[in-house]
Amino acid sequence: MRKNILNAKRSLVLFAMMVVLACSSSAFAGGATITIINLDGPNEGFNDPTPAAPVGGNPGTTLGAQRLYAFTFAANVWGATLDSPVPIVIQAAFNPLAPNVLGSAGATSIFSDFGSVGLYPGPEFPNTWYFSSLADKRAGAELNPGSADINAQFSSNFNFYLGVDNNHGAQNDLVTVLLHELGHGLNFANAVNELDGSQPLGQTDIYARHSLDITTGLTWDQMTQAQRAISAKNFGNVVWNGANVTADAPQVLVFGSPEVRVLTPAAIAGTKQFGTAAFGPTISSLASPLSATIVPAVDVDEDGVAAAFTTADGCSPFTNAAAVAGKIALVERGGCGFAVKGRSATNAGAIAVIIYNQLANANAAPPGMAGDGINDAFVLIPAVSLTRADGLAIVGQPGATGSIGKDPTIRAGADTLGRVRLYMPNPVASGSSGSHYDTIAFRNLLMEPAINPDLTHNLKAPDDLTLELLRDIGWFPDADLDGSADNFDCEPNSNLAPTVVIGGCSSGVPNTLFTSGCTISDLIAHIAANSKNHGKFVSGVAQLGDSLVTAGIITSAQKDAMQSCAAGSSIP
Amino acid sequence: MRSKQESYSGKTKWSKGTRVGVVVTLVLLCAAVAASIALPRSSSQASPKKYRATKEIVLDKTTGKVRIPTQEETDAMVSQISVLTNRSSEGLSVNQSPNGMKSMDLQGRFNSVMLGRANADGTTELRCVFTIQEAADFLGLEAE
Repeated sequence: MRKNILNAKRSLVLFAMMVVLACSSSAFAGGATITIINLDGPNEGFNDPTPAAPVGGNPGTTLGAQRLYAFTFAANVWGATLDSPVPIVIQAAFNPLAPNVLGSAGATSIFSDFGSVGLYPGPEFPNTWYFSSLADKRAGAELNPGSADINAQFSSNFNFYLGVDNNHGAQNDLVTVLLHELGHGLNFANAVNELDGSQPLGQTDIYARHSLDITTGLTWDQMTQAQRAISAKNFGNVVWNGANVTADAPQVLVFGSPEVRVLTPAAIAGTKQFGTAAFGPTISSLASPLSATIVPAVDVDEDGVAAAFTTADGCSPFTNAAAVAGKIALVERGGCGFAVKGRSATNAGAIAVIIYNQLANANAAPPGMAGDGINDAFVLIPAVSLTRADGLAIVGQPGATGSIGKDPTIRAGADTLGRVRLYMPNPVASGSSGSHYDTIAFRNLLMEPAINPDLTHNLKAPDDLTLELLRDIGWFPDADLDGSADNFDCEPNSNLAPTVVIGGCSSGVPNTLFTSGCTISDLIAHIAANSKNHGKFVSGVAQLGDSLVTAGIITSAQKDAMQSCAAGSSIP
Repeated sequence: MRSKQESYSGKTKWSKGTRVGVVVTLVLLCAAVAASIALPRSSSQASPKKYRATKEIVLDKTTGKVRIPTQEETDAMVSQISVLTNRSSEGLSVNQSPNGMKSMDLQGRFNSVMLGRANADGTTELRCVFTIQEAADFLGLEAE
């Protein structure tokens, strides 16, 4: 049944039952034109006629119209943020996706070793994949005519907030989700299969080139496939090494990185990957880190089953409470709820509790620990979770000391050198594909794996670091779309007239663009700005004309035409 | 002012009129594009692995309560996520142009997928994933 529906839908598309929507932002004064191809058929998705009341600045009066308005809004945010001379084409639809699947996006194609036109720089590195839209921008031309750059589809079953004012309350904001997913389509993602470290054709990509493993000192393009697979699990030790992100991170990320550390002995010391609890004080609420000896708790074996024997799960009162009091308690996961363990540790007088994975979760990441609604209120100390390997390492080192709290010298989400961390938990966890910022970043960032409710619709500092990362991979600013990056452009807002016009006088001389990013008109404008009087201006234009003639750019007659216009003007 | 001794190997910038023409052309082109494109949705590349749901993550519209997904629902989500997040380039072809450019049509693979996990309080927690393993971790799906 479903298949028939899909086939029918495609047929409708084939018969042009689609709407092409060109949602242009400031396309002709920098920016990027983003074109949305609506693949939905009549009465579905973007065309759903179900009446809807306007909400949050979205004036649509049908469900479909509201989806379209929100999608266009998000596309325009991106369009106003990036600069590209080549329209970015997104083919989009709202479909009845599988349960719990709310949407997807991705590049349609990847390119490497492409050429470029005019001043456009082409790829920064050879043998390096770029997603379609970024490749087009750097080529200054459409590399794959007739094809879209980004696929995007979202669930027509899910009740997104469709307003555009970000006032979504407990609902999930469609605009934010779109900004995130389209960000991935614009190359905020690598092309690596992190489960085995492989790359398409064995060739690196521009995102991977900036993924730096600080343990090995290698970026992902410098690694073997096996090294990448290991690095993909090197929690807390893979950072983004791009200059733009690092430069703006201090505007966005606050000092006070939440950390769980083993302090001694040196053999197991270091920052540990941890999970947080939905009960007890949060790490962020601690005025200063809690440091103490870590003491494995001992309790009775509740079930009496030999095969499940454990006196380490903290499910009943600790029999070594005196040893635990004033220390950090260490208990094993399983046997009862997390909050029960937290309550036991609280009752024993511990200052914090660490819960490490049991054998059944030996290869699992430290879990986020839910409460049970019964014991939560009795947990008065911070609780964190660790991997089984880290937990057993501590058990094996009696007298080990540790700390739980915020490191006031490190920004939340950055390393000690201020480089922003990528999310690489071990083992693989949701959102762990290296194509996200680390979840401990704060303030929260758009490109973390979770869509946090406090995100804004702003893509750059001081609210976010998404644009900065895209700058690092080659989305350079180019207000006049001449292919010359603004920070190197002789004139970032060039005069784009086809011929040179001086003081309203058309010289008829072609307005040539030079590799510096200036046109002849720009150079004349600069002369005008630096001339104290009309005579100086006319003289300056004459000198420019002579240089252009000498270089073979214009003829003597054209120089005379420019000279005549300059002389007849009232500049300055 | 910058030196006049700059390199003069430039080109004429696009005029506004030219750019408008480009966009008009593009919009017309889009009709042809759409006719040849369909979004990837199903499942010839679905994961062969079978998963079992273990957590209450689906909001039942009938009861208004969260429940564990049925096996049919689980299979549907695993199939869809597996196709979209397929990060293997096996079977994808590389085109090489005379100028050296290489391109690869990803055939709907390498997508990121936004997942939602319903909570008992009526809210939905969102997570973006790139692999079925990540999705399984978030949704509480266990491989059988």
